[in-house]
Amino acid sequence: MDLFFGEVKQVPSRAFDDDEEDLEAPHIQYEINTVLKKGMEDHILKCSTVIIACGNLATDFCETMFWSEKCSEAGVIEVKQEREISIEDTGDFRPRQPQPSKLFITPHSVLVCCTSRDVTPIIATQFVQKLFSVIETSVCVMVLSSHHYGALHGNYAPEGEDNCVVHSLCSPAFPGTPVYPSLPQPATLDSVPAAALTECIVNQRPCVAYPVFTETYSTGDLDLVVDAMKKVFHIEPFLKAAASLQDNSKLCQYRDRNMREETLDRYM
Amino acid sequence: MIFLDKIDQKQLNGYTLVIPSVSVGNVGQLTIDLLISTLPTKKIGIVHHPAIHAMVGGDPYNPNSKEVTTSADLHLVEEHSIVILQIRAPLIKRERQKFLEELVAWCKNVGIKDVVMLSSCNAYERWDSQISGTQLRYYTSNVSESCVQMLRSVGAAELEERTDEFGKKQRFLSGAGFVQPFMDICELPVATLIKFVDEGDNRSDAYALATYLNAWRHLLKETNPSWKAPFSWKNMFGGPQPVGLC
Repeated sequence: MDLFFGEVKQVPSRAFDDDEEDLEAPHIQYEINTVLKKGMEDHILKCSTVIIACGNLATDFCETMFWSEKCSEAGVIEVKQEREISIEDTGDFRPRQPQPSKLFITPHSVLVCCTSRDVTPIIATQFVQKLFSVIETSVCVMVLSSHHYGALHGNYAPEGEDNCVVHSLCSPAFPGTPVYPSLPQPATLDSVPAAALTECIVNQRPCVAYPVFTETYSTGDLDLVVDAMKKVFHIEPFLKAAASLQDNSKLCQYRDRNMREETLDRYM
Repeated sequence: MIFLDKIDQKQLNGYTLVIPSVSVGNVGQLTIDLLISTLPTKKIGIVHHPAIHAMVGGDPYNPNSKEVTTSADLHLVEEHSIVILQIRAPLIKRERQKFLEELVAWCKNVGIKDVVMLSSCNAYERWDSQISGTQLRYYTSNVSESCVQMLRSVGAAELEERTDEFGKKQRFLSGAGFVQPFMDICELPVATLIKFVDEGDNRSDAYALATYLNAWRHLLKETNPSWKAPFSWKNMFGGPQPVGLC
């Protein structure tokens, strides 16, 4: 039985001996580097809040609602894979390189990190440590992540006008009260959201994580989450970031660029 | 790696460290859950290492607590001079050895006296002679003879050696996780308590292993104690069914 706080995971066993098949891809070494644009180190140090977006809808939200011509591209966090090629490796001779995670700074000194989908749970802790190495220790961190509602392992019941379910987890140093209620058991967070929150707990940083759960997460479904995600910026210390979210024309442009599939609409 | 909160690590001098090996059926970890829920424990720190998959959630022992629980933490049982490490996530294999080495170094640094590891082995790998009789085993290193006698006297048997295809005799620890790598590098006395299990609902295996540990170390007064299951076990196989289906 596989158990995380009572949750059952569909894997055969947690245990592996050297002879047993490894759940991780063998012979791959990862190297994670922060590549900042010239002169951006000081700008990053001046940022008072950091938003880490993980998952399709969360990264779409941040890229759509925060990005404008007035933002500055700060750089990327890149993940390099070094794969040992052996005589048995008859697969991909030109393996796809992981996409970097973009960093940009808004006019209100908010650093936004849009985490690439290539940041896997195996490298999540190192990824977060690299990001935190370039920011001040007093900076408040928000982790915005999107998930399928199956990850809730419980009743999926959007409340009020929301078309999604949002919960929260925060570090002891977080000064306020999160907008949404605590993540109920047996749901847990893993990968980058968990790594970020753990780093913040250990280093006594203020941090709040808002996982957003939806029934679907296709391109074009940003409408499901945008109102709920905007709400999380209505408390300190994220009020400054909320100023960037007032421009609804960005949402229209997003809808134009990301038409919803008609077939999908038929089944919604 | 180990971040202690409100306690000086010198206080752990002479303590026993109880750790689970992430093994088949997660029996060691489930047993640790029972120990933390039943004994008078106090959470004293977090274990944070790139080798442990990051995971966070609510408090598995107290549903009313707002405290965030991470993938590994330390709990103190002052009454018995025990510090318990709970690991809730699998280890990343390529980082595992580094984690074990740092853990051993930490034990030496703070003055841990001995280590008790809780683990499980695959029941399907048992020999015929292991199928009947006690399913509990012990495997020790650097442990005194009196301690071994005590382990034997509470009804367990020493884990048998097997001869591999190269003619080398060694303990066969199928599904036992990092038991052997840890024991290879740890110079402190280590006693590993093992149960043969199959994957499934392993709660009863956890109760058996906890009772075995208690019989050896007398953590509770009763010989057959009532172990308190943590709140998180209520959702062992997922949450309740959706209201709309009722």
